[in-house]
Amino acid sequence: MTDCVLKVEEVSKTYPGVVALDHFSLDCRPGEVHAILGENGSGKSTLMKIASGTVAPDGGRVEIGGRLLTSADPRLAHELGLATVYQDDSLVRELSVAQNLFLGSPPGEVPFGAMRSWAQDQLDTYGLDVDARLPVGDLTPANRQFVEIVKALLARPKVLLLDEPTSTLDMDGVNRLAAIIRDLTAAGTGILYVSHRLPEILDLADRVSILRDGVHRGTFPVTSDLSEEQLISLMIGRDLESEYPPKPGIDAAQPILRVRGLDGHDFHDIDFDAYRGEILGFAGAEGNGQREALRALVGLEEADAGTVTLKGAPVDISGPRAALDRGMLFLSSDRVGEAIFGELGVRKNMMLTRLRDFIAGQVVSGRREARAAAEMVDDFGVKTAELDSPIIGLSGGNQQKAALARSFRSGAPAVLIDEPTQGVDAGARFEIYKAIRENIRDDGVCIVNSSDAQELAGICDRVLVFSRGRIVAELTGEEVTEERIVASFLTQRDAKEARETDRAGGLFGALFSGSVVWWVPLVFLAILTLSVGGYAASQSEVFLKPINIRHILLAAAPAIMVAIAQMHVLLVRGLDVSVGSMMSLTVVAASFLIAFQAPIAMVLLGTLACLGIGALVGLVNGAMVRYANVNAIITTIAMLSILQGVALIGRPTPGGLISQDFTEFLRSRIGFVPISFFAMIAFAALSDWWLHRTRSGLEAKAVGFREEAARRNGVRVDRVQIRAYVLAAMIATLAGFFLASEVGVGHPTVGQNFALTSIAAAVLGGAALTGGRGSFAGALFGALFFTLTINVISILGLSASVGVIASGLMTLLAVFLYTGLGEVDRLLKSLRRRPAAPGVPAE
Amino acid sequence: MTMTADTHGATPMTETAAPRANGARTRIRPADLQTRFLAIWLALAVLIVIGAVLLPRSLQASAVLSILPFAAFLAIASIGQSLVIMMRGIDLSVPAIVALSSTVLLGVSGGADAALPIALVAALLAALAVGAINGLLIAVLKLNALIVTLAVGAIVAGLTLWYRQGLPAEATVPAALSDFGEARFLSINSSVWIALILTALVTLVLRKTLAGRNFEAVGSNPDAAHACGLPVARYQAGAYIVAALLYGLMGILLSGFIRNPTLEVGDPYLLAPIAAAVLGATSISGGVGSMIAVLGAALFLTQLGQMLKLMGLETSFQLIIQGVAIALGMWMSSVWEGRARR
Repeated sequence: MTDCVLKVEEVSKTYPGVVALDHFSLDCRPGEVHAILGENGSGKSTLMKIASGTVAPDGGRVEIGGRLLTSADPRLAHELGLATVYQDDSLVRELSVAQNLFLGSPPGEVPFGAMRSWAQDQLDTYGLDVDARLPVGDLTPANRQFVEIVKALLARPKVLLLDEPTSTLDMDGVNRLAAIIRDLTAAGTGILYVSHRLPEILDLADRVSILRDGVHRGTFPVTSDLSEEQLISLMIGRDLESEYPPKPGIDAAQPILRVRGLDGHDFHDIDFDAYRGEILGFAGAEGNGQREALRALVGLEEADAGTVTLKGAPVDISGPRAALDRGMLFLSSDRVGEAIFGELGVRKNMMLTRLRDFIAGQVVSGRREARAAAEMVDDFGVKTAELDSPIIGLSGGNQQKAALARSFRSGAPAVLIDEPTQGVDAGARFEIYKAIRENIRDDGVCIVNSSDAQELAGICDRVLVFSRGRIVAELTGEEVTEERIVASFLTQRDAKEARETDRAGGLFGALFSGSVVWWVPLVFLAILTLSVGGYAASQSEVFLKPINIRHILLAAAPAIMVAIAQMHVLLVRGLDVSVGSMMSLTVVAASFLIAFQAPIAMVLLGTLACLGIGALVGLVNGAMVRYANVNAIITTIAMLSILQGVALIGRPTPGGLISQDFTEFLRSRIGFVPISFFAMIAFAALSDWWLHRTRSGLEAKAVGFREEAARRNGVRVDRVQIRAYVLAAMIATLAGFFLASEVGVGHPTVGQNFALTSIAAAVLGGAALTGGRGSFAGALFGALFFTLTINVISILGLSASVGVIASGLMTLLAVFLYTGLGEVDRLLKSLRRRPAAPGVPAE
Repeated sequence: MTMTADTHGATPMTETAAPRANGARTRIRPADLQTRFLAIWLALAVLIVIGAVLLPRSLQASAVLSILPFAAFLAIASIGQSLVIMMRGIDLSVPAIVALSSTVLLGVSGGADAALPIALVAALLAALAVGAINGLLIAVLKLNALIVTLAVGAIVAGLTLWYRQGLPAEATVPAALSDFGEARFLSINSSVWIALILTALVTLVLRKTLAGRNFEAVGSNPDAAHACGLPVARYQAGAYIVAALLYGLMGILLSGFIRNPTLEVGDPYLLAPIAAAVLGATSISGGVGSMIAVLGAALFLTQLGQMLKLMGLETSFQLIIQGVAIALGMWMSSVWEGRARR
């Protein structure tokens, strides 16, 4: 078939310990909906990633629109006519809908200025009632999903990959999506539709391919003969009943865990009992509060009200530590992020919660610990070469078994498990079920939250079904079947609430969210500057004299430039500590290359040579951070050391006059104001124009906010990052020139305090260490304020030590205001909540 | 489509359990035998061989004994820095804390032996206070470690400068301390013994105590540690406090060794401890570190510096070497960690 829009031939992919795809082939014709059906972990997402070029297959080939995908490059796949709608993470939530759509449009197609109206048109075309000006983070999950789809369709793709597109949609949304899909297929677009929702597939798809454990289990035309039961048996491929451990009867008379009136942002009025020896399941469509409710039981999610009692004793649910004290332990679904200790060995991972058992005197008994660890490895079937192999090297299933071993052997009677088998291959899954059943303490209880209804049906004695944050059904005994579970949450999903995401509220909310709006830090800085300046003017007659103003502005020049340099790196979520020594090196280099009485040509050449050094330094920094994967802080610390060393070799002690033409030029003025000051205002304004008014600036912001999303939008992330480091080093070189014009000689350590200054100034000006935020004007005013304060201190005749202290304090103040306040707010809240949390349940 | 039994699913747990029935005998490899921690000792051996061939002077007993105290000072500061790096942090306030404890020692003792005990306590308390502030801001308020330690370092340096201005320029440490600084046991300088004891002590605490093991876990994955009920902020802050105490102690020993320390006494210790920590294969992603390897790295860097000096190169080359060492060590570490994932 040559007319296929997508052809995947014999692709394979192996991850450590798991064969994700095994010689899989598939094709998609124009105007066809080809569904891919498979369980979690069956290889669906790997297939999607290979087809869209985000992951390179170990073998096999991918053709899009009849042309070969020659390398695993999402941009190439996109150019060939493939678009992907992801479940999450491909929109930059901090940016507006319009900006996100704009990033998804081919460069040059839409003028920057017309972005908003163009985006609104696109939304209207698909009948979406969304304001393009809103930040994506403020949309409902359903609307976010539609924006994703609209974005994917911008390029008029030949083939569209939809990955679980209905997981956040309500019935109305599903119908709307179906209409869009029918329009697309009518126009000849091929659609690859990944889902595990059978009714949808039977309704929409023309053909369905089934994946199990990475192996293609067949492709079938969807006809009225094809039943859900057939698909299920193909997808599951085993006799279910015999694989799950048998369920012992549970004596419902003995509640162990009691939850009453648990209420929080995503869950409401949660009341339930859990009985002795029981596995209780939490079910619901993704995002209906079941996960949050489970996490709230150990304080990982905020609960505003509610009581929990375990074996009659109240449990303090203000945090996992307090909850564990009373015997409640949680195992997260985010295995790498929140459940395992990747670099540590299997033994250390398993033993963490029971080390106390092996303490003799003050010392952990290695032998007894090792023996117990070996037993646990056997009991839970963890396959590892050695007990001290780093756990990150194990397969997902073995990691999960080790984490389960830790949880069940901790001695906690109540074990809460979120998604016990997410990302676990099918083989290990059933061993995990068995382990859970075998290891519940006789006097304990286990609560399992899972998005896999079949899993819940297989292992749970009882299932609570969540919808919109409330428990809407309880299934016991014979009712605990996959069909009943799915049916009970599907019937409940008629009206999902459109909930706006909270803005940071609370005590310090207004200030904390200050840096979100670019001008708030500027106003804040202006007030600070005026008050410091006003105080100085009232204390000293010299302060407002033109000579002093000129002095401040001259001294501010290097600080402003280096703050702008730092801003470039902060913008893309990096940090460059080497800018200060870059300035020192520039001053030293200038004393050689732009030496006293050098002819103009030589001055120009020397200037260019210095900038060349800067570019090289930036390139090395960027390459280390991006390609060698070395942490930005460490990279730039290493660079700081090297540059400082080179500077000191060049000029062990200050010496070597710098060309006077050069320094005079940089210090030239109109009236009492240095020209450089105007130049810098222009430079900052130009940089801000770039940041806020060009596609390239928007890309930099997107990279800072959310690198992965930017990458999926076709932004060349590596290039943006390296460019930031190169710009930073080169602008730091310019800062070095201004510093050189001030000192006049090759001084090897003159720049060493500017790293701190640059960070403080940029952060005072609104830059966030988390990337994406800030403005160059802010950096300029931050640096100005910094210089002003130091000047005021010296004018008031205070000791030099006060200036050093003040610069440290200002830096702390800056980071505290924009990040620390939020944390203080959170701490205060949790303190206020603490006394209310434990208590005796009202019976 | 046939319903073949799944090969993975068919493997019963008992099958894997059988050959492991003697589980207790499963070999446990002491962490320090791991390649990542051995590398620095190999590098040191290579360096010594190179020295033996090209610069026999660098291996003379007198030369070695004269640099050992400096290796010891570096080692003590590096252990502190390594503890912080194990907690995914970084500490750039080392020079400030060293200068602070040294200056407080001068000021409080006034050079008199009688006041030495109280001066020692005051110097250590001052260091501890700075560590506590670092820890509070970083662990509790969750501020960026680099910026906090840089800023706190500036503030402390300012305060130290201000305090130093009130002291006589040629102030010296009490004679008892300088005697101790010169003292040798088994012909090896006292500071070297203290560095060895500290290395052993910290290693023991990390490996063998509950606190040490929990510390590792918090460093490796603070979120997972929080979910497992560990007091994460306490351990994180603890790292900065213990580190500051080590810097303070090192400042005292260094002052005793050089008798009349200046404000610049701590300056060489901004970057060198980071280089030693990284060369000692302390993982920047947290949790993994060996103080014995860090000790080896301190010896390596000191010996390398000595050789450069004997070759007639300026000390500034040391800075370049440190920078390259940090970058190289990090790169190797990321390769190791990448391999561990495979």
